[in-house]
Amino acid sequence: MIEVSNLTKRYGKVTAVDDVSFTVNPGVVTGFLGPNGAGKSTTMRMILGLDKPDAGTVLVNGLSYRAARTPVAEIGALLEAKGFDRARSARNHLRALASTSGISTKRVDEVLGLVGLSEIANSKAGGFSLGMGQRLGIAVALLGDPRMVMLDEPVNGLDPDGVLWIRNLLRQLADEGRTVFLSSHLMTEMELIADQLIIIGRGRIMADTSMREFIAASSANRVRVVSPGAAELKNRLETRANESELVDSGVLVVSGLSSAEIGQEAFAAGIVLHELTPLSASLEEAFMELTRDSVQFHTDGAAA
Amino acid sequence: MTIDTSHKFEVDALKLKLTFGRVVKSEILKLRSLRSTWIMMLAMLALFIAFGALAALSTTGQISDGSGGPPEGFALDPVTTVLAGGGFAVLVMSVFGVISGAREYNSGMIRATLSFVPRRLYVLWAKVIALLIFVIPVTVIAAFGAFVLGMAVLSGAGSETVALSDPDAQRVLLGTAVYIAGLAIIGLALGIAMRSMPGAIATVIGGVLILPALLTALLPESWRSVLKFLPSNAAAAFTEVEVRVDMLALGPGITVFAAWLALSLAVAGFLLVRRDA
Ligand SMILES: Nc1ncnc2c1ncn2[C@@H]1O[C@H](COP(=O)(O)OP(=O)(O)O)[C@@H](O)[C@H]1O
Ligand SMILES: [Mg+2]
Repeated sequence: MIEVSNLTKRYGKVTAVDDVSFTVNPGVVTGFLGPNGAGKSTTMRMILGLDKPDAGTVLVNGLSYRAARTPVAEIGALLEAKGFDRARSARNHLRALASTSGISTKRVDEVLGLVGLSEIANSKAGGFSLGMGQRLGIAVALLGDPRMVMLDEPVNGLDPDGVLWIRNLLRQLADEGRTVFLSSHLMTEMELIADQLIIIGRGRIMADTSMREFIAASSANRVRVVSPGAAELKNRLETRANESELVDSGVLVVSGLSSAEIGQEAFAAGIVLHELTPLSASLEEAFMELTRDSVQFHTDGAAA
Repeated sequence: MTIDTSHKFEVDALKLKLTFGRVVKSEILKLRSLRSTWIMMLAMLALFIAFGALAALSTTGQISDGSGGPPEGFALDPVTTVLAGGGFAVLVMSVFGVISGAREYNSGMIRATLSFVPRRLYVLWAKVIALLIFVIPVTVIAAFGAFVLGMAVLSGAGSETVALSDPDAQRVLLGTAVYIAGLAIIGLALGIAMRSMPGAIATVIGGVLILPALLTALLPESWRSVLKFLPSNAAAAFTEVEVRVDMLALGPGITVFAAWLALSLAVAGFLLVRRDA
């Protein structure tokens, strides 16, 4: 279990993580979703004690990770796909990390097989593709057979086979009762893997919910109306609709009202309708909507 | 949804304890598994011994610059002559130290290392020990090799030689090995503190090896009382046959050099523990 409380991290003027609190529970796959620069990697580095928070605390299985006596058994992490020495073989990379906690070479070979790197285990890792590097990183995370697995953007660079493989792996780990926490900037990916969803935007938590609830809440009615009187209809709906938007002259997208209610209103006002189409929002759109204002358009510190 | 939180993996997990000894093993494995480690060790061995032999040959006139007789600038003291390669050895080993410290920052592996070893000082001390496990044997073999081979060359030409039993020879041989190992450690500390190979290599070569010699040569005599405390000058007490009067004596020299080591390790340890990885 990971318990994050009021975590804040600043880099100069940029507040990368802003008073963030959440809990990641065992037995389920928890997705950490947010656009690039939202603060996912920074949060994960703080969970591992790599970066020091400016405020707040993180407890990993009830204690600060830096004080862990058996760190490899507590948490296994993939933080960056290229975090290995290019001159060393994959096997020696794993052996070096494994030996810090007495993990056997037998286990090293086992995880190499598990991630599908056995055949190239003895060649220099410098020649690895992004996907192979990613697999090596996952092997590192699995070395200690940890109670908790934390992966930062694990599907980046993986081929479709690899993506499917990792989905199954994470499901299996969660079913075994482990805590599984992974980040992504893609809702489409999360939709397929995660049971729980924590959405972060510009360092703040925007949503912390189950995937099922998120899907239910996101399918809020939106209706597309094509009409020569679109502008007039928009005015008449103003007070009732949550939001209506004139996307083109003659095309209106209304949310918060059903197509029946809109048709009724148009009929009452004598407005001709050419089209009245219910739209089901994709989760991707719902996610974009939620984090729209939080996406950093400027990368320079002053504008952030 | 019911969640099974039974910790069936906990039993095995207890065996996977992080210990300092294991971290040392890990650091040795890291060095062993890089070809560059072995290349540097061999290069140091070859340079140290070959330069001693060459210097011996040239002082005896067996190699000459054409004018006959020994080339200028070579000291005629036999111990100094056969250890002529020491300067190269120091250079190679201090660079080796820097690489041992900064390499993981270059690749990003340091974050994996520190997530496996959250007790960061374990990493620093394990790196020091692993470094010394490579540096000390190679340095000792190289220094003795250069001594034995160089003296054999000198004696073959009928020149003056010094026996291994000579106290000055022993002091200088051992001292040179200590100096080289010490600079490797300073290199390691700088590598960790600066997290950059080029920066730390420039600092150790420029700042620790070249600058003090340059300042000592260029600044007026009155500065010597300060300059003698610089690492390379302090080490002269145990690396040079004739200890000059304006340099530190053996005891203070060792103390001052040890203080530099302690300082550099303290800075590296402080930064390693305090900074974000
Ligand atoms: N080491 C760092 N130094 C300075 N700024 C950083 C550092 N790490 C992250 N940031 C900044 O913090 C913000 C969050 O970054 P990050 O955690 O990497 O986001 P994500 O992983 O969600 O893409 C970004 O604005 C990023 O530029
Ligand atoms: Mg990231």
